[in-house]
Amino acid sequence: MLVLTRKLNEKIVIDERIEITVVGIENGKVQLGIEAPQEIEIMRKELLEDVKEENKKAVKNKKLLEELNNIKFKL
Amino acid sequence: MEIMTRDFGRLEIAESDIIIFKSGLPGFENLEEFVLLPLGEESPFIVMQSVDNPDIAFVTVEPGNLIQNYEFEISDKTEKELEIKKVSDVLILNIITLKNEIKKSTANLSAPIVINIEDKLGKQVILDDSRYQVRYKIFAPVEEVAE
Repeated sequence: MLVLTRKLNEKIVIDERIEITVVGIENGKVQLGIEAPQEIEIMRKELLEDVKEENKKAVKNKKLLEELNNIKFKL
Repeated sequence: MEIMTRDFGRLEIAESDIIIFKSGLPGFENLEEFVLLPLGEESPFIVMQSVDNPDIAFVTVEPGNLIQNYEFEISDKTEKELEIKKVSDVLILNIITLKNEIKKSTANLSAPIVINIEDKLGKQVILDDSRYQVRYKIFAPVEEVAE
């Protein structure tokens, strides 16, 4: 892993097309500005991991299917 | 062709009904082919069954059943990948996670499945939108029946 030190408002460039700027540093939080072409998908990693985990839980539903018909939605 | 399903035993499906997920789903990146099997005529639930792996099936539902004004922007990238030409070809489904105590079941509003139903191409997109949770409780408490 490459580790770089950057100060506020300094940037790094990846592959000459993705630019990441440190736009804020406060109370242990770093705010990043990212400029990238539209085909680059950017998301917080924990969200992706959360969706993976939830998908894995969701396939273990077999025995509960019959009960579904007895339930009303909120709406 | 005949496939084995998790919830309905062996089923005959048309190859033209197979929806291709070119990059699989998060956590199931190697599963690219699914079919949609309605749970029943009256039921809003649709089982999204893997063609390749009988054990992998998701219970899904259209978001209109769950929540009002569910909205998100389909990115240009997704639009291109799924070859979406018109909005009316788009089917949105949300995956349900059933819990042993069924009332505690949730829907993943943060990661809807977007399907181009005309060209049979699908993708689970991830919305980084604080309005929509990965585990949204879907069921109203069942009302007690008055004696």
